[in-house]
Amino acid sequence: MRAIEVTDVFKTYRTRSGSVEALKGVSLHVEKGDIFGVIGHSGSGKSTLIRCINRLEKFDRGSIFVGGSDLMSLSEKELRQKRQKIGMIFQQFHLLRNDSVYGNVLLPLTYAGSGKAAAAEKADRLLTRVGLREKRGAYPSQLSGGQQQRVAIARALANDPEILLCDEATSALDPDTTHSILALLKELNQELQLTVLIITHEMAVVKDICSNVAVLDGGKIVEQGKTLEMFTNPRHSVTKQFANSLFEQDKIKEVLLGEYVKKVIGSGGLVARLIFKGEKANDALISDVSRRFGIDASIIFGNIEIIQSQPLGNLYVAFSGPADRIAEAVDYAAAQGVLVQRVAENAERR
Amino acid sequence: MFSAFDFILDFVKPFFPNVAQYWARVVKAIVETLEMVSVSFGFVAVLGVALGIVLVVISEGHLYENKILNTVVPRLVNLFRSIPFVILVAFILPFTRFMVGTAVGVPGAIVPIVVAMVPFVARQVELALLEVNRGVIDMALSLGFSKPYIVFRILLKEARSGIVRALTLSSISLVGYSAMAGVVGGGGIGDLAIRYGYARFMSDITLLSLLLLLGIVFFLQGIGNFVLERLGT
Repeated sequence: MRAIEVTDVFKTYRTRSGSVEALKGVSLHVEKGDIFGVIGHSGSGKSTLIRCINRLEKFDRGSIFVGGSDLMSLSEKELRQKRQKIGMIFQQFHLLRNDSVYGNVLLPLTYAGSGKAAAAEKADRLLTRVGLREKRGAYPSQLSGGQQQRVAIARALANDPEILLCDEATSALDPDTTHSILALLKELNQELQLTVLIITHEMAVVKDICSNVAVLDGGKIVEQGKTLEMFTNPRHSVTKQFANSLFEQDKIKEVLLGEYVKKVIGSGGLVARLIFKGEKANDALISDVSRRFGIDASIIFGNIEIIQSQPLGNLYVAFSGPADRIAEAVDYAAAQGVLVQRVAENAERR
Repeated sequence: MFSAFDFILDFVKPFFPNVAQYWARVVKAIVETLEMVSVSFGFVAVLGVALGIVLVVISEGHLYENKILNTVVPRLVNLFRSIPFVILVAFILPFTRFMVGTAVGVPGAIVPIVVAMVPFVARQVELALLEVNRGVIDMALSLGFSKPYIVFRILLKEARSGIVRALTLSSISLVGYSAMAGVVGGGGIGDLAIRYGYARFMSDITLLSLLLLLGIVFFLQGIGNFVLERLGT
């Protein structure tokens, strides 16, 4: 059974100054136990989408099934019970200022009517799990952002949800803290078979933990699939933007304008971008090609990203030597399962 | 009751000759003011906070969003807030008689004080409740909490220091209203100051009235500050 099934959802906000179409027919499904990312720029409709999934926001058309039940057909009371099984964490944490860390985690437990002792024991266990057992008496204002988000996670898990919705949950945190929160989410995903849906505008988040990703733009999903594949070979322009931000692609432009590249191209050479996936990234392809075809291959720019613990290599290589040898070399590389894009070459070669 | 104030009498006699002469009247005025302030404060606090909650939750996009109520209630509140107090006292006279059976004395003053103060407090409480981040309500909804639980357990608790501030401020305004209500038959310190201090040129009584009212105000502010400190804000 799929954990979340969104089918053709439309949502328009009507205000006095006009109406805004936030979602224009969004469909996606999230498998049970998956960590699914939805990435998009601000205004793409991603926050609206996640808020529809626990019906903080009503939608106009389409259907959303969560854990097999149709959200729109639920009564108020059934919806409240359903929401207890859909945890949610927020960018601004939203802890209660006038309750201690312990009080914040205890709140959903007392509401659900657990006995005092059982609730206390569970709150303790949750705080221990997120590593904040010793801060139980502190108030939110005394905690760092990362600690506050940990408390919010503990609180969201109090009702043993099957799904956790993360609405820009790491966007207010620094990169190190982001990383530790994501690591915690990943652990919880594996320990509790928790389905996690993450909404973000940060590539780093998707890269770190999402196994599947959907790219949202202008209220529509423009591309979705396995994270590694999506960013190895992005098709839609927005996906390309995100992929480029991952590889710091803007830096290559300067390199391509440099003297060395001009010289290589002037002498009939070629600059190509090679994208290696998975174990291919570990092979010594460059030196292999260089030896095999008797040409020079120098790496002018490159990086290797770890996506979902799989390496994804991105190399810009300047080949110089006889034109036919270079052409053979490129074909050979492509035959080895490496994605080759010609970036710069002498115009006369075409 | 009067004997409790006798030691003050010995102290003020040389400086406040008229006060000494009308001592029984002064003590009666103090008791009347304390009655007016404390009884009306009870009603004002309960009704004002309740109306403040209503103002917030019926507003657009809130828990009990209601277009019709949200058009009517805030306008009524504004209407009552814009009527000058002395005119309100006269205007609602029939209502006062209906509620407490008389339009004079302490009970007759309490009704207009409450009617005038409740909208004022409600607006203050509304502001305090609006200070609570809207995201907190989303958070509470996402945990599957019921709306009444969110209002009483989350919204009120998160806004409590703002509400205490609003109530302190209101209790002080209330002292002022009680002085005015005195003029229209409620008795109390304001009445004393006008009828003796002003009309009979007994300026020592005016001065004493002023000091007494100031004392009450400082006392109320002190209680407010104490409560805020205990709440840890």
